[in-house]
Amino acid sequence: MSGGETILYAYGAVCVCMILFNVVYNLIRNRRDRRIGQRSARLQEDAVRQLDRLEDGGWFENGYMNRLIKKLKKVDWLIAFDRMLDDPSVQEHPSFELYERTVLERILVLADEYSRRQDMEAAYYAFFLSGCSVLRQMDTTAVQECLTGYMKLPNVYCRVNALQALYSFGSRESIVGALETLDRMEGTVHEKIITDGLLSYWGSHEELIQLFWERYDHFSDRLKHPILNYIRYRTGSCKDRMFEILADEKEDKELRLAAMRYFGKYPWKPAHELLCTFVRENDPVDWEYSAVAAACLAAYPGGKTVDVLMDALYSTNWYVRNNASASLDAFHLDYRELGRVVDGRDRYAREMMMYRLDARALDEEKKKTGQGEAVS
Amino acid sequence: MSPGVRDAIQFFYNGIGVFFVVYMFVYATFLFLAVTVGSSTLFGTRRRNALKNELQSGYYIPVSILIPAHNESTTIVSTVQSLLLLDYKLYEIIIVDDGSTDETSRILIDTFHLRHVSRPIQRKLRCQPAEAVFESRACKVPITLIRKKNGGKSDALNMGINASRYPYFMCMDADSVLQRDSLEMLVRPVLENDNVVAVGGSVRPCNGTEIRDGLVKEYHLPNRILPCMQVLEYDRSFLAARILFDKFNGTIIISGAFGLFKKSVVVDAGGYDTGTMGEDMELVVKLHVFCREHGIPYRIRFSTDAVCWTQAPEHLRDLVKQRRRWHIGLFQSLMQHRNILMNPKYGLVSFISYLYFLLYELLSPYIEIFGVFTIGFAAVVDFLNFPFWVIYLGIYAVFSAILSLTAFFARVHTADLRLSFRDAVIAILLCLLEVSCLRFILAWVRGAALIGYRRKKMTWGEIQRKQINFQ
Repeated sequence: MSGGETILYAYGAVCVCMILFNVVYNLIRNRRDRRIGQRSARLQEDAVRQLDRLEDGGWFENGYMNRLIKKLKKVDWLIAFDRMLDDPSVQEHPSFELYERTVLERILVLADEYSRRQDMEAAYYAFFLSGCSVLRQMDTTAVQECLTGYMKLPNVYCRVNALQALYSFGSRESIVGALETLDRMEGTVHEKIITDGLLSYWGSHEELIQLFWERYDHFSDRLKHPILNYIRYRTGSCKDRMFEILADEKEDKELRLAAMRYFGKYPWKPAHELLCTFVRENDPVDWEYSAVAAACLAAYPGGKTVDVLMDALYSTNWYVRNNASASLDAFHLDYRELGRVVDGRDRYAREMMMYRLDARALDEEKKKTGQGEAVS
Repeated sequence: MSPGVRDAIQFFYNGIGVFFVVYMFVYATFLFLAVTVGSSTLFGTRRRNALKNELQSGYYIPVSILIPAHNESTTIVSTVQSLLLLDYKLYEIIIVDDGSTDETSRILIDTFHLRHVSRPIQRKLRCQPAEAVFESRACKVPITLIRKKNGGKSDALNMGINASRYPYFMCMDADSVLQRDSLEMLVRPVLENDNVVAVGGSVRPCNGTEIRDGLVKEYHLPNRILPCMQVLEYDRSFLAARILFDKFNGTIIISGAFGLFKKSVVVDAGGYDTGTMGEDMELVVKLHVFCREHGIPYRIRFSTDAVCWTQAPEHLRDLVKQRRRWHIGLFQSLMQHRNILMNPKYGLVSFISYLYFLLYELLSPYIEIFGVFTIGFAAVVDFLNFPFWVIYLGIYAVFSAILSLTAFFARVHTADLRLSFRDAVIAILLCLLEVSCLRFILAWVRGAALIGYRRKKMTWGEIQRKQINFQ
């Protein structure tokens, strides 16, 4: 047999193995799905027995907890246990809260064990904890530290699930600490995931935001941006700090734009003048300031704003014109008030404004016919 | 035959032999790696999802969906309806009617209650001007229809990019439908890594498959032999190879039927090239070049979870037109960016991806046809070891068939599709036919594609469409 033939036969043999692997994997997978269901049922049977004992004023069977924890070290058992906890017949049992708290106390000890496993399994453990809101009433200091350590793992899902768990029951110090750790690591989490996650924080947002301001300088610009966005979505009581960022010419552009958007959501008189200045300056290099400021002025109705926006409609920058027309449209001006533009000689400004009026008609039509639904 | 001539022929065949052994060895290795890596990745992805290693991303990345349409009145409504069922919150749909002569625009206007608007469109990329713009806000997401003079698919896509409002755009064909979770899955790599500038999804033939409410209800192999063989071919050649290229950021083709792009980078790179037939591949190669030339950190990803169902041609003449177009597009893209070849600046994109497409896609039909002729000539001059040739051909066919089946079953199992016993048997039987017949027919078609290239280089050829089994 020639060398070429040998190689081909060898490849063929490996491919046959792959097919066998496919078939066997499929069988195992089907079995695994069934097995998780069976395990969940067995766990439920055991749990109901414990729940009944607790209801009768007793305590867990001897050895139950050790057996359970030994099983939950395996991720498939943890999946089965998670399913079992979601079962209404278990959740509605009068002793469920006591059962859950007691079992979770032991499960928290597994944090360290799972952090040494494959990243995927660690991520699932964090996911499991994120669904246990009862942990908010328990001492979880150790597990929070462990979850903060998950930020050092390279797996993005591990980081996100750990952050989600911290938002679900962690302290504000842990959350800020975890984000600081994350900031030091290579490859971060998408900023929108951070903003969105922070919004789901279970505790006091005012206190969390306070802590962020205290540690603000500890973060790099890439983390500051989602934090500022989070603050924008959450509270209008940070105008002074935001104004400082907006007015500071040395500050990063994205951060200044985030601060600008803040004043688009929470109108503030001192910011109004600065926004108008940004629109008037119409810097061709840093045109983003003018464009975002033009959009933010929608929150500042009044003659002065209208004049600034009308002028912005003649900007050479398309985005500035577009945002200015959208802001003017938000004031619901009629054709007479928009006459200077609609009847004017600048075709681009006229087209932009006419489109806004068309779009307004479409929006009103949508309101009349109810919320948009898929047309079938 | 004189000894001198015989020696010359012997010398010629020795050279040919060495060439083909090396050529086939490299190809077999590539296929083998692609299928094994592809299958393992599919299983790994499934396990990852089972362990909730996933990012929920319904509204993090706003996406503009662009559909270039030219005489697509048969399928366009199904396509838009499938898009309205997506489990995604922040997106818009933009259909660019590229000078259709049928009822494409009228059907869209009537079905989705579109209204004429005087919308100005910024011309960031060159394209034919818009003749009319229609919009509707009556559906789940805004729908925009732009009617323009015919300028080709690239031109229509450039118009769509110009009109898009969001920072990412997804292009898709008017004869394709998406699953409910397709967009969410396609966006996921962007959430995983900020540097991702493009993501390709898995395109699968929908012939025989019943898709209801954006979910696959019944999965069957197509009834006709030709699309059935294409299903196997798609899994072996496209799915597996693309997973392998993804491992080293070497993807140089994202199907025009389903891809996500970062708009700012595409605009900076110059958008779609209107002078090519393979605009999808050309854009991706261009993005590699642009990002590397400008020192922009970037990733181009392939998502196996994001699925787009498309119609595979059911008639040979349609398949011939499609493959001819693909081959011309491949030729144009590779020629246009020939400076990548063996250029260390482009790393593995140059030494693996480009070289693979050059040697095993663009030149392969000529090499295969040349091989057939040399075998014929060898038989004539009595140089052919007939029993060895038969065994070798048999081994090759079985090897390729096994690879096809491996990729096919891995894909079916990991996508939670239930395959009937009948379909499994059909797949096993047809994989040999695909390797031994279809492959050679397509080699001939691709080989002949460049004949009369100058005359036919921008001729698409109409492909017969039928209503997708969608609702």
